[in-house]
Amino acid sequence: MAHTSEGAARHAASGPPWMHIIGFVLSIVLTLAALWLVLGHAMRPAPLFFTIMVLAVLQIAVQLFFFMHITESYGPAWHVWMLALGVVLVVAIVAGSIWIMTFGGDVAY
Amino acid sequence: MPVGVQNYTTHFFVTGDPLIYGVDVSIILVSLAIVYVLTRYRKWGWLWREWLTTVDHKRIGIMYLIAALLMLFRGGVDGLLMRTQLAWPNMHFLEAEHYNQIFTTHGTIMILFMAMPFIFAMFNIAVPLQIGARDVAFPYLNAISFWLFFFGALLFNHSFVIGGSPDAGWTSYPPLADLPFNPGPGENYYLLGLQISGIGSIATGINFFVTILKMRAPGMTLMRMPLFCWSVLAACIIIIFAFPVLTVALALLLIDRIAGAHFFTMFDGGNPMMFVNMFWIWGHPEVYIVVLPAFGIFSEVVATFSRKRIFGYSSMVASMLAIAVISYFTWVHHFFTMGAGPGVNSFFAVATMIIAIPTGVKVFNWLMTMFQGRIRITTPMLWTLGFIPNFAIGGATGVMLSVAPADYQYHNSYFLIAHFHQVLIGGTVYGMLAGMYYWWPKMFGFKLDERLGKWAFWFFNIGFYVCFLPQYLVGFMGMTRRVYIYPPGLGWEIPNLISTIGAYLMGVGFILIVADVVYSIRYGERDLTGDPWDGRTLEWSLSSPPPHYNFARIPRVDSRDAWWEMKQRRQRGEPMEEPEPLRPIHMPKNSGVPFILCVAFFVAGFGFVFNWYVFSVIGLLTVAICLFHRSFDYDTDYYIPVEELEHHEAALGRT
Amino acid sequence: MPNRSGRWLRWIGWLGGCLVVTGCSPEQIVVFHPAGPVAATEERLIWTSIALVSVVVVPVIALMFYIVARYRDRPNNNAPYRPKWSESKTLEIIWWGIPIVIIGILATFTVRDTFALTRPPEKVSSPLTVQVTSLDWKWLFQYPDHGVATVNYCEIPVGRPVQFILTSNAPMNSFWVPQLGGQEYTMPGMAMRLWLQADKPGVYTGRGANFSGRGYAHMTFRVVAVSDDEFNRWAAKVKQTAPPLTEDGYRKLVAQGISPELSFSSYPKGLFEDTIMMEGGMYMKHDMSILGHEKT
Repeated sequence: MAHTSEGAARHAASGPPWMHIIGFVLSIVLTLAALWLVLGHAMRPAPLFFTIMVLAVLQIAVQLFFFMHITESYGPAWHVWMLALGVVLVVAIVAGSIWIMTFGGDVAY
Repeated sequence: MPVGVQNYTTHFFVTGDPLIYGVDVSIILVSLAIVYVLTRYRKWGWLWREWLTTVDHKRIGIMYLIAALLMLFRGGVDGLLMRTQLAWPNMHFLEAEHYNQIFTTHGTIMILFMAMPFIFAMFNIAVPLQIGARDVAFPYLNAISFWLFFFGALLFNHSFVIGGSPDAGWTSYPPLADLPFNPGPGENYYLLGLQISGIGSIATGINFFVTILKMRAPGMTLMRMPLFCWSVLAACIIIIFAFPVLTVALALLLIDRIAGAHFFTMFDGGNPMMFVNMFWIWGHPEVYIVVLPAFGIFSEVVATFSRKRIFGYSSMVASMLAIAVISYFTWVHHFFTMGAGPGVNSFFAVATMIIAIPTGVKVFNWLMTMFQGRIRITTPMLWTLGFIPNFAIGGATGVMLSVAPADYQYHNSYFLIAHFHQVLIGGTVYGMLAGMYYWWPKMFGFKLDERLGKWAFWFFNIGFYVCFLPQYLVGFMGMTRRVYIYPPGLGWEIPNLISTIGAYLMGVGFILIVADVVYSIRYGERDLTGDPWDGRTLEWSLSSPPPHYNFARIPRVDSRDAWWEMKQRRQRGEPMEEPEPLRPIHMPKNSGVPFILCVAFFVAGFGFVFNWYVFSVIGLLTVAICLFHRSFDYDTDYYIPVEELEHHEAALGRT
Repeated sequence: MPNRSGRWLRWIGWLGGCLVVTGCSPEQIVVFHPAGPVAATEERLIWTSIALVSVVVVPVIALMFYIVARYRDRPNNNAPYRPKWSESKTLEIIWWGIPIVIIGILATFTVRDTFALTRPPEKVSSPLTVQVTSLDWKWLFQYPDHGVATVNYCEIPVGRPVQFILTSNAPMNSFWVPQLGGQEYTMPGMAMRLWLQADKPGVYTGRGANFSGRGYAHMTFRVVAVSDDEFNRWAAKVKQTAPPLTEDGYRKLVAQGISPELSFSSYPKGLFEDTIMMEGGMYMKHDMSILGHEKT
């Protein structure tokens, strides 16, 4: 898998695949941090949700940069456009769902 | 456990129904017949080498097509059984349990196991040929996609004779679909069948998205692509973002059912409405997934058979991309009546109406393509012409449904049923049949008989209106969907009777299509030129059927309607470029692993259906082994040497 | 030819005859025979939308038949043929424009009525409250002001807004009385409000509109609209003559099955609120505010 990608090949030429190792460690650290926060009841629910979400976003960034080669491409960067569209749609879906599911709130009575 | 709910788990095989015994017998007979024929004519090796292990997009397309037609048959029989039961008040042809199962399987099969493979058939058959590619971007993944679909559908269909069919509707809302109200394995079949084939759908979406963006012939810019490829691109964007939501929704409901979680119960912080919400976040884009490729096919057919360029190409592209994005902002119109508040309803009502604008524009563009053209009424064109009024009416009732306060009167009524059948049959099914008739000679090297095809069209088209127009009326009379019986005296009798007659006319239409296929295999007009319709796009530059490597030389494209322009130049007697010398062609190797992988998925799914986790573990382990094998398999491709190419091309009469 | 059209006429006559014999009369098209202001608003909106979409649909279909007839590929067809004509800014602006205008008009009406229908149809000081619970496979109606309950039928006074508070003690269903107005879902653990009103006395058929299992097709109920006096007399009579609904009786009612019409002179205190709470309502604060408003 990795050997077909040019980026990895470059790293392979210059010793150990540091990018992959750093990414791997970072992703594990982020996962363990989230786990510890929840199991250890380290915060009250509202800040806890927020912190976990921040950790999740960081995790996505780590995956994209260290493993999914977001910065590499031949030709137009279609994957970046798709990713942007994905972000828009995910925000729409999450925000829309919250808006819908808190129903009854604006029934006039 | 609620009294009266039949506990199917105690009966492995469904018993006590003569209809199902009949099916049991016919399944056994058909299986024996297939085994006999394959053995008698020594075709097992051929089946394995040529079909089960193939990674050729054309063959995969043909297999999708066969599967889609089979599922159209099964879903259609379900529909006819329902219409027979509803033909007259107080009928006792089917009882409630049976009727509930039949409308559930009808809906599920028609959307996920008929419409989806039908569009994938068209993707596979046409896209690589239209963009001048030798295969899709990931041929091996393409084979996996097909077999995932196939075994997902097979698993779902098993429910009919083993364990009992799901009966909570194709929408499968909890709490009705949750364990307390639905203890049998039927619902598990639904969840796992959809899950397995859904993974395949996501993979197909990614595959064709990459294929279209990365594998176009030199010179074919995006704005020179045939509109069908644009429609596939738009559909793939929707698949990539919508299907994961379904995957998650189904997985959570499955966890609720087999592990006792509470995602979709009202207890412990869950909420059944969240399933409804997630289902339609996928469900609404899904209807555009199945209808956009149909729009693409109509665009190809209209231009070809009007002998004219497609009108308003850029606004066609813009409208498809607009539909792809806006389709994510309309999902609440499937549950306006769940009390989400006037703000929510207004937003989603207006968003739904907005999506009608680009759709309407497309219809005008098709009309203007025909305007001042030279229209040939062939079967593909006939299905296209049948589609336009159909979709105009279906689209209009769609706009009516989007008016949220009025939807309070339409929701769950036969008005809604008539509407979505009009757009899904009138749009998707007509589109896929148009595509099938259009590309049939390209796939098989002979045309389908036009006379039989026209009879089939007229039976189907007239039957369609007879079947569904009365349903609008009976919806206004207060008839709700999914009732298996109704009393006399409400005025519902006559519209229902007419509707049933129409359904049978459509059934005759389907039989005529099958007859057309059977007749044409023997007597159909052979296509020796490769360009039977005087086509405009690159697939018609190849022989029919094309060789397995498609293009001996990758064509150079410098305009839209590339093949049409080449023909024009040749006609004007302009000098042709000297053909480049042939070079060895890089091709993917066939592999049996996708098939085995998906059998393993099937075994795992079957284990989950009956909570026999030994099967699940064995299945999933096999899946893991297959993935592992693939990761370290470097022997995946080969080159066709020039001598062999020359030999092939000469045999096809091409230099 | 005359023979042929004669046959057609006979067919049409036969069909029409059938319609009359089976009693398929215009009044049976219930959505178009509203008996109250909510249904009337919805009906008006339906006709408006039909008129607006016809502006596009009718010309499209007519144009298609014209074009196909005019530009057929026939040897002697002398209609113009322009194979390369494929762009026209003017035409495109027209057909992006027309739908936009139509949708704009329709959207305005839609938003206005969406908000209007969440309010009581008329400003009256004393709307009637009816609490509705969908069960497998029957409807329970409770009158908190009168302390009576009914199954599979309800009486309402003419000319007074009625707020139906909806919940379910079974899979979701949907409460629909087409002649009074559109439907709304009944969902376990949630309470939702639907304003309806009858302007004419009469008996209106209601039915469950969302599939809920084996007995779903039989979930019809009658809504009897009578004058205020008659309504009060009815409530008093039920209070005096009908048996009470005990907790045990309610449990029997919840069990799956079909039920005839029933009346009860009383029901366990707080039955409706408890049902919602028991079904998980404690997680739904918003709905509880509807109920809280109720009690005051």
